[in-house]
Amino acid sequence: MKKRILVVDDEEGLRLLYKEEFEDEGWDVELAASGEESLEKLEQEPIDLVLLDIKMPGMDGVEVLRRVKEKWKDLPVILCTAYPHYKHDFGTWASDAYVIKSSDLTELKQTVRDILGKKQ
Amino acid sequence: MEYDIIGEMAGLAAPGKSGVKLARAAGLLLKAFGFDQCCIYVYGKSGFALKGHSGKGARAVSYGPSEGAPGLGRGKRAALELYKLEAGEGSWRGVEDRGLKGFRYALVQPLEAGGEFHGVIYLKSIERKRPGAEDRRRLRKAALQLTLVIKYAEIEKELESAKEELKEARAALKDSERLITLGDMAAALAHEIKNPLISIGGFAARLGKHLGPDVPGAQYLERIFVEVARLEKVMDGAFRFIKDSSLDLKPEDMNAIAEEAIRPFEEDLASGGIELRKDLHQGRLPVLADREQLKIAFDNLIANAIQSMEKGGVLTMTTALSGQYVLATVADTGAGIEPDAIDKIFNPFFTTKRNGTGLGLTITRTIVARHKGSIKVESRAGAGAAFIIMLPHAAAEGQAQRQ
Ligand SMILES: Nc1ncnc2c1ncn2[C@@H]1O[C@H](COP(=O)(O)OP(=O)(O)O)[C@@H](O)[C@H]1O
Ligand SMILES: [Mg+2]
Repeated sequence: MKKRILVVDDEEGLRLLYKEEFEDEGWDVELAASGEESLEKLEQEPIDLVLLDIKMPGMDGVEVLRRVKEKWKDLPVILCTAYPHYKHDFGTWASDAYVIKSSDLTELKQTVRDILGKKQ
Repeated sequence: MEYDIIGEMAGLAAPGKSGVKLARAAGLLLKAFGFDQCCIYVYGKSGFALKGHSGKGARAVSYGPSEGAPGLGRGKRAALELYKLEAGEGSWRGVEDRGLKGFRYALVQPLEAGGEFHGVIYLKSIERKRPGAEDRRRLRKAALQLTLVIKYAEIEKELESAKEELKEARAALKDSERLITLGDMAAALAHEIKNPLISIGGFAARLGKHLGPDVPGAQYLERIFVEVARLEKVMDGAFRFIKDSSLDLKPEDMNAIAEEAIRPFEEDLASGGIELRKDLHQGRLPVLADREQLKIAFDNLIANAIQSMEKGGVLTMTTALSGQYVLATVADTGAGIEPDAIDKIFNPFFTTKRNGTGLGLTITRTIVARHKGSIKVESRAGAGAAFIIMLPHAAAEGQAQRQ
């Protein structure tokens, strides 16, 4: 069965881009436009990996990460941000990987392959 | 000997509170010229304000710009003399001034300098009197001195309010600086510009993939992709004033790092009644490490050890060589870890402390793992805990690579 990625980002363009690119890579992709929505999606369907934007209005990525790790401690989470500063944010240490956003998705795709491949 | 009223007036020009000075001036004038009441009015936007007075029945009467005797004196240069011929409620010959009630003679001396009118000295007498020419000359001179005192006070006040304004402006500037720091700007730029850029570049790349390289115009898409990548690089570069946290691995001595890590805690240990024991391997323990990061890994272990020994105890820092590994142990004689918690302590956000973050051990384990090492814990509830960091021995690793 295909592994399923949940993409959480408040930017519509990026959600669309990630969806198409990761589907091309052979993964199933679910989308959530906010932290709150991502937690609902996680309750409803099986997810194998979360791709999480940090800076979102409302519940931000660090808070989502905290809740995810509380409830599904083995669910891998990749934190993504446009802004390298967050790399030093305390909370981001709890994620499984940290990727700085770029229009070149090579690094992000490789990270996803590393994590999901490992779990097979 | 004649009383030196002019010298006294000049003395008032020294810095000080102008209200106090003018009250004092009124007293001095009263004494110098033998009147029963002296009021000093300073002329401003809303007319005459009583700024100092002395003597019999002086009340805080204020006058409009053209009111009463001070109003008559406005704009004049010479003193104005007012008197009644008969005692009692008789006529002041058209001058209406409730301040004159009970007096028979008054002198209004304008306070004027360089054609600028600043107010009046208003002297009143119960008895009929007429100051001689010498007295009037002295009064004029005293008035000139007093005018300078008032001018000085005004300048001082303006200076004061200018200073105040400057202070407020500075504070406002600081506030606005606080509102928009460079970091906030960068974060906003990152979000508002970089995200759309990634969409543009990402979709250009996708379009290029769909159309293939042989379609006319494919090179335009390539151009878009390349330029976007360049812009992103410029933005990332601008953010890089915040140092990247990737590991900076160098040959280090585990003993030195352990020593350095414990040093900042020595005061805490002493004040917490905790004895520090060091049992360090003799000789260097070479590891490939990012010194600062590894120190953070130790920091978290030491902090936890101290927090577990609220009533004091012993903290032991041990380093050793074991086969191809370098070991460093932080052990305490504190509360220990409950059996059902021990599997969770490395989980992010797991904490049993009221103000805990539950990230200390997560960070430590992450750092150790990034050094290709591992961390173990040994503990029994009530009998303390020991955390053991294992890193590859640098020399041993070198040999392994050569084989
Ligand atoms: N030396 C120790 N002795 C007893 N318990 C410990 C020790 N170190 C860690 N723990 C337990 O592990 C938990 C997680 O530690 P940590 O990740 O550093 O987070 P925090 O210190 O913020 O709670 C602690 O709350 C505590 O229950
Ligand atoms: Mg801690």
